[in-house]
Amino acid sequence: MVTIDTGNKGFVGSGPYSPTATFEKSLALRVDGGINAVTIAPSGRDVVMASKHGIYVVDLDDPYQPPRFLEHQTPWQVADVQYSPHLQTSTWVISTSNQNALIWNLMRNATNAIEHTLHGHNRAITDINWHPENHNLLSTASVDTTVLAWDLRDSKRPVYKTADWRASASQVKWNLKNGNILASSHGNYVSLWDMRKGTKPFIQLNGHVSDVNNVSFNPNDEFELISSSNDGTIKVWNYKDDTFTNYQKQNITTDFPVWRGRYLPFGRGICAIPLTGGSNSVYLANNNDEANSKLSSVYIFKGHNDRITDFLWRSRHSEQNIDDREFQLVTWSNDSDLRLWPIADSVYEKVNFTRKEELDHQLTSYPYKTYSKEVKSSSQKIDGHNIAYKFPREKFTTKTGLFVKKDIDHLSWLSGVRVDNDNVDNTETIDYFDDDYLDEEEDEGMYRNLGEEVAIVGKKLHKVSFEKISVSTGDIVVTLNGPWNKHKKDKLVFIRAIIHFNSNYPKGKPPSVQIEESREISNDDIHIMELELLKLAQIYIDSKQNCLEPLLLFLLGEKVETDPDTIKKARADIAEYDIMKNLGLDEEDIWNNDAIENDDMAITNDSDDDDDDGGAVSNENSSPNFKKKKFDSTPVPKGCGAVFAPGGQLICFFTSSNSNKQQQLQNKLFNGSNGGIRGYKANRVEAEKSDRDSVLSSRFDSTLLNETPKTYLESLSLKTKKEQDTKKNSNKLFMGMGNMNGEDEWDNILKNDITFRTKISVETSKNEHFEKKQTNSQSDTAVNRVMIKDYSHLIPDKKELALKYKTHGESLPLVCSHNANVAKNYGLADISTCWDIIGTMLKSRSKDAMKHQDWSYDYDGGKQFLKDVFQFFEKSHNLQMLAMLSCILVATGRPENMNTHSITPFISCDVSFEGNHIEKFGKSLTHSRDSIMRQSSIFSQSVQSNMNSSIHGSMHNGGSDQVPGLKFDVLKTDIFDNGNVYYPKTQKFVYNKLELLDKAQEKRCIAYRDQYAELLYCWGFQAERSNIMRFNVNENSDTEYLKKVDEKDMFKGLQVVGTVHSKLKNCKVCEEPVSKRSFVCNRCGCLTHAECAGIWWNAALMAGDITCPSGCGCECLALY
Amino acid sequence: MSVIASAKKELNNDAGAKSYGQGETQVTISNAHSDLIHDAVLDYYGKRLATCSSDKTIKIFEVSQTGSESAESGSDNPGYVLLDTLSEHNGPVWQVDWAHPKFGTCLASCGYDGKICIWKENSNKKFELISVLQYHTASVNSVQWAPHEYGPLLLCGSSDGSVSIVEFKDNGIVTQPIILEAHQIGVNAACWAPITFNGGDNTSKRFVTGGCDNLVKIWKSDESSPNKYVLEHTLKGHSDWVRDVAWSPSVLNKSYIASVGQDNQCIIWTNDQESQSNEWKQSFLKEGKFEDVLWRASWSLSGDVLALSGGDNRITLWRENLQGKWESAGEVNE
Repeated sequence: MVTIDTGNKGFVGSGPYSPTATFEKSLALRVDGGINAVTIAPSGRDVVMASKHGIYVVDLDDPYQPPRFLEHQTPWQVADVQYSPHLQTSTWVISTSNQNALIWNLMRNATNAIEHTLHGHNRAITDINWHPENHNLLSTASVDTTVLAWDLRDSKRPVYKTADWRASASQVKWNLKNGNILASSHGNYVSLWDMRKGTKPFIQLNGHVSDVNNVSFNPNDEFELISSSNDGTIKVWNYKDDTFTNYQKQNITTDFPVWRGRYLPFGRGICAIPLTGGSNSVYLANNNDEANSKLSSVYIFKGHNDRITDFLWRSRHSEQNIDDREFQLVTWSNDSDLRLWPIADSVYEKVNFTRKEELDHQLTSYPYKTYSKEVKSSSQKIDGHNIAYKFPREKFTTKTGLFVKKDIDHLSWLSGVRVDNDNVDNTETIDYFDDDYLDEEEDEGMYRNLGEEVAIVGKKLHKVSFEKISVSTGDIVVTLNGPWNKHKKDKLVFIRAIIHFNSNYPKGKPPSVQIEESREISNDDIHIMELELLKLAQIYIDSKQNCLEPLLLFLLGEKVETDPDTIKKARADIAEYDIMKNLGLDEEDIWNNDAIENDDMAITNDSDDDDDDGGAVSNENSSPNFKKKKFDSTPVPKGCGAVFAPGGQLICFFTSSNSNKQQQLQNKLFNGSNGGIRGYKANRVEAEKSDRDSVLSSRFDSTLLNETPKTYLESLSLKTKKEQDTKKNSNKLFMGMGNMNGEDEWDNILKNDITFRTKISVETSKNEHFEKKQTNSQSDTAVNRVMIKDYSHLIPDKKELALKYKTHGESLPLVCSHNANVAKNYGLADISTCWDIIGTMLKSRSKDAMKHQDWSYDYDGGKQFLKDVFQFFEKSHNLQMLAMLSCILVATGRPENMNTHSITPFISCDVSFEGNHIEKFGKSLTHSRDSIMRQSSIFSQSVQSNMNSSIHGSMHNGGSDQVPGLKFDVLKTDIFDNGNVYYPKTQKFVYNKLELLDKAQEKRCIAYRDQYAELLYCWGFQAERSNIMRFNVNENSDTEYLKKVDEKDMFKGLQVVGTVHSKLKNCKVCEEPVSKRSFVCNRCGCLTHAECAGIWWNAALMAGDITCPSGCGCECLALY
Repeated sequence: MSVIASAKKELNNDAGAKSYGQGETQVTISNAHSDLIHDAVLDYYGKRLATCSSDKTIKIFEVSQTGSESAESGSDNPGYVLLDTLSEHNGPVWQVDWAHPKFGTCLASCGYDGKICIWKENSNKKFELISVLQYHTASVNSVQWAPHEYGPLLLCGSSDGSVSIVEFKDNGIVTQPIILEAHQIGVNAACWAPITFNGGDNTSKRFVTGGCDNLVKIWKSDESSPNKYVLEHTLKGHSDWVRDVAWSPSVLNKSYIASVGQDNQCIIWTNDQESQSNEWKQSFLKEGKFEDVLWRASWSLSGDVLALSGGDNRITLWRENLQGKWESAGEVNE
């Protein structure tokens, strides 16, 4: 897969760098495990990454190989790690461990890889810098404000010691041209020290208004350096003489607080990364020498999803005297990706880097060698036959003499490697890792490269052990058990197969499979199998498909798809893989895989271990169209919420208090790990104000208050992280570091992981116990709870009132007093009073209509009052009152001049009414006849007399008072008289104007009625709903509205799932109470079971007569 | 008749004697799901409760209507019965919403897997999956049915930055979804305007969205072309991700939108319905910030009480007083 692309970029031939297969490619390596610092070997081949667990050596030329791991467990985050830039010590790496610095020699075996331990600081070391010329010298800076220089020939004590005394040192750098000069940053300023001139800074560079994060000396000018700061500026200083005020030569402003700003190793330019913001990119800028300028970036490397913590330059060159160096940018980000970015030629030009210039000094050539393999094992050649392949398996002795074994799962590692074959692109912002590749490579293999394929297939097929995976050479050795015993089919036979892929795979030649000789299979059989496999591979290769999986399936004795068409279709897995990636759940934390295996059982991939991690998301799902998104912005799930139901209930759900605590803990954890970013703004203000002494910590403290994770993934990773940490804690061994007097400085600074802040308990057993207890308690308590709570008391609209309120009656004042009583009964004094007042008002009006005496008759006064009433109820959000008032205070019906031909005429209402109800009520109540008569008389009255009295009066001639036990509203249920006092013969509605409400308000009134009707509908009060709705046609309706309103629309029939209220009614067809699905005709109000209605209407249609079952003559069906 | 009368009387007495439940708990369902619950919604009639969770399932409960019923039948009756457990999603299910009953007993759900599922109750009180939509390319965070007058229209907001409107014809046939790029990083919530909202032109459909760009946006349908929605307002006010937006379902003299966010704040946006300006005014629900991030806002049907919930596991209720100030109406106790 990995091809060497010579001749493309041309000038660097094969030479000693021929294997630099990854140089011109973009590459991403996912490395979990809390890496905090990275450094690159001067040769550009190895990268060393440091975490609390130790250091990892990764060979960039063969990123598919799992890294070498040198364990050094500490509770402290590693602040810095640096490769020695010197040829003599090019295998030396220095890393920090709180107040100590450790110097590793990668040439040595893991058990004794530490060459020196530098112990001189009292508090955590923040930065280390190798001397540019003398390989024995280096300097360190620390929180204890001191800067030390060391000579490794006597590493017991520093050779130079100085201190700022006030602010802790964040950075220290040697002058690249003058080996006696040191620069260190403290708080807002940079101090320059001359080792020959004692312990007082000879120059202090002041000018930044916030913390200085980084200093960097100009590689070409002895007296120039740059510093970058939280105040969002990069300053260039020149201290040669007094040309510049305060030595400040340039001030370059950026849009972000600058975390690292350094001179480019080539050309003239600056490279900077933001502490926060800046879209997590690396900015390459040209230095234009203007005194005040904005960062003029000529190139932006964009693609990381989280803050970049450091960047490095990987370089190669072929000549010693001619500068033909070529560079690759290496970045490490909090998103756990190590990325390699190729540099386009245009970039070199933009920063004035002309290649192939003669040099006045020789470039150092470092041996291009990797130390990513354990040294000892490299001497023992793996001959591929007798020794089971092992991954480097170090035993590192901690100072307490306890052994910790670590395994790095090769498959997991592989799945974290992403190589992009595209060469340098010339666009301004490049995202090499754009995952659109899926679309582009439609016709090619499912996987981008062999590494990916092995990773995915390996995870899928647990029964296959990968003894050896060498992606760069295309060799894979697998062992598995297959049903190849000729005699006993059910007996599985152990098979060891060597698969070799050629470099063009999946194109070109099919991979060769070689099955090792075995006692249980005859050689002939092996030969046949190999031929079969070759055939199979050929089929897949012909359709340009990857074939590792079918080959292995064949060896396992399972059925393999051989039809080329179906092969092409079966491409679902890549999508699945991407989803998993997207969720961040498939990435087992290979570093923290605590499963300690037996040494004897050391076959590499005991895959039973790695399939239980991804549990949170099922493995079998596959959503083919789910294209991976670069940044998953799914927010943190809501664990607690409250939703109002229409009926005024509040549905609440909570997390249990227990898990809530966890959540909080997680939040805290997260705050810590990401604090520096979020709190930038707050910090900026604060930092400007704050005293120098407190600056360092302020940045982080200000953020701890209220930040929580934003995205789902963040919270997930926290969860897993926490779980792992807990797990870790229980297995943790006490690390007796030589001198424990220092607190965990780096945690205070970085707050990277809260669980490590306290010292780790000595007793492992105790921790286990704790863990057990924790799990127990978790299972006991409630995970979650849903509750339905009644909050109807808060809501002014009441169901009970809705049922009892009347909209019409004998007279309006009576209606009002009825409603007042209803409200009173429910203890709603204010509403009751309101009804009373309106009632009185109306009463006086109707009574003294001729005399014009009462105050309320005064139209304006009355109207003003009503206006105020409306306003009050609007403010108090009492929809019910608003709707009731806008019903009661208008007279319903269409105006006479309105043409109502469109309405289906009723057929003799009065007759059928009578017939129906005599039957029904005659049995139970003797005087019901009267009322029926009365009721029908109402209709006949209205029909015959066409009189002027108000509808409300005409409706119920005091009937309710005279007939005890038969409250009129029961009978009418607001349905029988559905408002439209309709005069069939002349097709006119009769009404009497009330003129209480402003016509202009009608629109709003309609809105109130509509909304209230909707509310009633939700409550299941069908009849009440249509009663309210009919008021929409009234004296105030404008003609346009009336035209628009279609009776069908307004009284739309609705199928209803059972409601409380409807149980009070009987079906018109079968006379049984209706409690479930019902059918209500909103014109005549007849109520039927849905089933009965079906039967009735079917029969009716057959007979050609579509009248209503209630016998009212309404042709309900005509409405629908 | 006597039956009816007595029934009515009973209701009278009952209701008369019973003072309103002061936030009393009617039903408690514990540990229905094995993981966090993200949404719980009662249907129109308060009969069906749908809950959804990180355990990838949706559960439907039949809830007895009143607290008194369950009280009468003693402690044996918890007041709810599990009807069905729906598993179709491959990831956490974020939100569910009941359709208006005129479309049948229908439930829409959305989840992390980017799916939108539509479920319908059959005669055995079981729920059948009638439609699965998957056109969003990331987690779908919000799903809501439109006011029923618009027909069965579904509004979905997704972390892929878009909102979509999709219409269901009969039998689960779906129209081509209308997809709008709404918020750059992701849409966290979307909510329809009530049909009674008057924004100058009464015929436009409107909805509001909130997203990761800290903005609240109001969209309206463009009547000239049926499938087009245009941005009407962009409301700036939050300083961090907007987590939920809720348009008050009732429109009196003002229309309200509540938006809550990761910035620990709740903003009430009001639109005066009496003036024709169609402007949204911003006001903070309370001075100073809440103690924790806010996740969810919900209006009561008549728009007078606002329930807020957030990261601290607390639910607070708010009501506007006559002076137009928002004051606390209590806190829900677990």
